[in-house]
Amino acid sequence: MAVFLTEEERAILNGEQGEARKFAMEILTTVAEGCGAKRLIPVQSVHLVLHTYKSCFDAGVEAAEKIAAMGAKFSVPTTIDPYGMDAEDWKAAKTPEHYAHMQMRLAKAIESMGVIPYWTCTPYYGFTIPKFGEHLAWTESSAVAFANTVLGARSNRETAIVDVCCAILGRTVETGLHLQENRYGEVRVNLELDRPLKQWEYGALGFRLGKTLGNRIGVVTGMQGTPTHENLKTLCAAGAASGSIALLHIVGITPEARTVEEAFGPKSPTAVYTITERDLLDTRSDMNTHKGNNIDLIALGCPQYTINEIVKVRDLLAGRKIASNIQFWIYANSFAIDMVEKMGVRKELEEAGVTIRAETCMIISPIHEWNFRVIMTDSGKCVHYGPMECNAEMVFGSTEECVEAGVAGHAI
Amino acid sequence: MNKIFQGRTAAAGHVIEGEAIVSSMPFGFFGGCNPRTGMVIDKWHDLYDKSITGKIFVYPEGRGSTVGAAVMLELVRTKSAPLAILNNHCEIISQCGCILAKKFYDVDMPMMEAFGVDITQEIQTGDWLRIDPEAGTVEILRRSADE
Repeated sequence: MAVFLTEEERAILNGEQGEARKFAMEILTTVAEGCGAKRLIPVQSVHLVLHTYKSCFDAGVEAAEKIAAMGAKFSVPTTIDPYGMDAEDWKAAKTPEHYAHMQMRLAKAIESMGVIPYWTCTPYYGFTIPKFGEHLAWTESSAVAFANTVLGARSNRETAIVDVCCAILGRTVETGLHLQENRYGEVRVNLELDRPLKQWEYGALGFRLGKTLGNRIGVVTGMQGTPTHENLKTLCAAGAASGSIALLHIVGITPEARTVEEAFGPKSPTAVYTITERDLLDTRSDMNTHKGNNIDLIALGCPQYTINEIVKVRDLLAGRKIASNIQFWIYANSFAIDMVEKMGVRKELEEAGVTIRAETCMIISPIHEWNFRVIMTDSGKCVHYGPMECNAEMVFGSTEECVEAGVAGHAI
Repeated sequence: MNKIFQGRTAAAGHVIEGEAIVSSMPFGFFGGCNPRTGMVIDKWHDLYDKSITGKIFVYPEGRGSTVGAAVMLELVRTKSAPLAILNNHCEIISQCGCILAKKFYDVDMPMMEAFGVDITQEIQTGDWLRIDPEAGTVEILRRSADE
């Protein structure tokens, strides 16, 4: 079945609006044909994942430069995933010269197209905050899961290079989660805990849901209390990494799931799972690939830490210092860093031995140069990718446990 | 009589023959494989330490990071890519990877899905397959056990 194109879209495909838009349209229409979509739709914003040399490689840099050389310009507000190295001081972060050079080439190409240089995996805290029902072309699995789940916006998990095409055209393919019939719940998950989740349990729940659901849309019942934005950020990120969660309904908490009936719409659950406190403890045990108590690095901020989370670390430290045998890093975007600087919190943290790493993260920067053998984190997403992308064994714990381990110099 | 499966083509390409590598676990390219060698590096995956280069890669569905298509493109650039991908359900990230391979490096990496059966149960690692993306068919020419 052919994809319906508007008059303007046909003109773009014929090259009437320049080489870059023609090239982007050829790719988007091929994708649309491949997934059987009927048409393209306009999007309000785009978030790019063609962002770091570590995950885009030479092919990604070459692709970005090729498109930039056509004179491409973005036509809707476009943000980008974290920078591939510490944006303030890549040399102090032991970034190899060649890597840094390639990262800067990639950034130059993308910036020439008009990206908002907000290098972050949490663009929903910023300048392109999605509204309910709004269509987006976002990448970054954790951000897509957050935008769909928590904000009720509509985005598929777009991918690198195609994301650039979406930004050039301000359009994406109408498929998947853009369509209401694909947003209803498929599987029910009964959470059987008669209390609000503890902070670490959100990461563990996300990790477990990702493994259980794969790419199916889950409807979680029984979540008590009022999870914070940060709790849901952690949950979405873990589930999007260990599985392919792009949309999760949490009854009574997320906007398309005021009731179980609303979450399932015309569908009936094809499976029902139960998750108990014991299951979350077992999941936590599975997440720890390292069973000893020695740690080389404590890495927080996957997704990047918010202002609230950074302040919380300062409060938990309560004037104590990080042990000298351990590195303690917090990853945050420029917005959060500006604010904690103004609040004086950055200075306090640095005096306590904490390093703020700017606009990047442990997964997508060349952290292996440090030869860390064991990394502790409060992120279920980091636990998933750490063994491959940081070449390290992982220890998972709450933020409190990470801080206590930092002060003690080992896991407790 | 060879077994033939009829599916749907999500990314086009020429007729090819090749050896299958099969997993019943979902797969994500970022963190899933080394894009310059084609070795599976995902320690959580059952194909860990095996190569997907030059193989017809059969798994149920894509998962994980949205940067996947760039990783696939690097596999293509370094001539470490799989020959083709067969899924029960194609997700859009790896479908885009296949489409970009053609657009940037003029390499066919056809992708097919929806065979009406669990393709990861029907095909075994080592089976020799013939794929016709235009017709939407996958034929098992020789079973690994036959050798």
